Amino acid sequence: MKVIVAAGIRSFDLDEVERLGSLLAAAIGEQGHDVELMQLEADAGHPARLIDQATAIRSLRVDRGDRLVAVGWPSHLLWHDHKIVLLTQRNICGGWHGSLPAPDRDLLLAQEVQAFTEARRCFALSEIAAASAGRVCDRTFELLALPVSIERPHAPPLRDPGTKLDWRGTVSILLS
Amino acid sequence: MRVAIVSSFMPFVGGGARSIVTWLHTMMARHGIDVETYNLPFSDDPRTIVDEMIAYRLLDVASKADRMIAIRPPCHILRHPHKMVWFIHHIRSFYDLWGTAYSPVNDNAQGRALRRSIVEMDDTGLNEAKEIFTNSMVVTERLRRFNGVKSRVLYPPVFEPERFTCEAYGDSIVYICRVEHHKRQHLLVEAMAHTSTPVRLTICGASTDDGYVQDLKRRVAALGVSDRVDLNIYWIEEEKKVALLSTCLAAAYLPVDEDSYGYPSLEAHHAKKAVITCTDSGGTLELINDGDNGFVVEPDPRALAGAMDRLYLDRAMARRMGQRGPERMNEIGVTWEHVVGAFTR
Repeated sequence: MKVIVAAGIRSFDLDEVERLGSLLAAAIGEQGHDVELMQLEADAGHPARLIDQATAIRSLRVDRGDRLVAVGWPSHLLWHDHKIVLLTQRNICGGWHGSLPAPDRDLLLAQEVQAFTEARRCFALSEIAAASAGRVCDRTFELLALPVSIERPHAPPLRDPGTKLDWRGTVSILLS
Repeated sequence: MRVAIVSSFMPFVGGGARSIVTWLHTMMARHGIDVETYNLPFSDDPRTIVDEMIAYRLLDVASKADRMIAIRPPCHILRHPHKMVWFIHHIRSFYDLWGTAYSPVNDNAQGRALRRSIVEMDDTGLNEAKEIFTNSMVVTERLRRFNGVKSRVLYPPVFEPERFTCEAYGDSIVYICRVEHHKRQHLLVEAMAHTSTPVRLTICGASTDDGYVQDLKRRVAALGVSDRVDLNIYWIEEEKKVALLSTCLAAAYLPVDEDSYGYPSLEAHHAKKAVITCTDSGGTLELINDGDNGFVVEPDPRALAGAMDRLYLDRAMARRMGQRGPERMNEIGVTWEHVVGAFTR
């Protein structure tokens, strides 16, 4: 299977979403799939430019690959016939960039809901992320545990400590 | 210094443009530079190309980088306060290939308007750049002619050239690159029917054009050369490429008016192998001198067959031409030190 992993990254700042994107791409490759890692800048230079950034991402074309796994804002805004969203807490509906003016935030939120709606499947890495998305978007966000613990500076690690999954199991669920 | 390298790509399609990005990143990191790479999707579908280019214009990348190096188009239209461009080719169907069979857009009012929009966007992005380098004199001349901008040639080296060795001068001419119509593998297949020696042909590379691949297979069968032609239509591993180049007689690289000398030519030269190319192959002519480090012949099967036979019959000449390869690369300054220095001065 040809799989594109798209991850939102912060310029010159290796954060948890960038790490997760890289780990996931490597794990998918190790399962014998053909994988491409694509990185998109999450932190547009200024919050006021987030609408430009989101609009630009929506206008990019990714018409290859059997699956596109989108990890973290703004990658889930990409169009793809078989998009799988892997929701971290970096998203508009979770309150990310909450300092935006209300009209801008509403526009971005509507765009994000649209992007979730068109996805084939949506996973969330925490109950908080699933609940925040579920409040604005009428679709199911399945909880997915990670086989590794990815530390975050001001939040619990990205992992359900009770998981018995390894990467093979995680990849299998994601791509099924 | 923080440097961001930005390029466009088509997922799951390899080629020189992908390699140049990966290798530049690695070499900059080895020189102690804090470097980050962004590969952005781009389809160059005429139906969506303007939307995609506007998206690039709106997009923020490398916001914390001191310098941004834009490589494959249309990355040069991205905005950055210190934008440098290593321009490796235009979106050629709107430039030098306009009005040819290689352009999917009709030369009518709508097509011309689309072409004008693309040229104007390119002009805007290029004129913002602090410096523009190209990968060949061919591309520098196209930038001058079509966009009115000045640029300097910065020849792209291959990665870890010491991987390439020369063990022998065997019986086979190898052609290793993407298998596409404009790379003209079919000319070599046809040439095989005109050879008078047992010289062999090995073609390796992935393709996005099934029709062309089927046509190549049909030609091989119809010409009765299947016992001397080896078609490997897939992306070969680096180790296999190194092994093939190490033992082949010589290499071929015959694109139509190529932007640069092409990595296949450089890799062959690192393996001390002569390169056969054509008089209309573009950038390869900046590297290959006829009768010196290879043959430059008309894009005609009989002419190609003549060059193949000469190399087969005169192994001492094949060796002498091949050994000129590394000297020729030094003459035109193909080194990573030169490249990294140009972007960080």
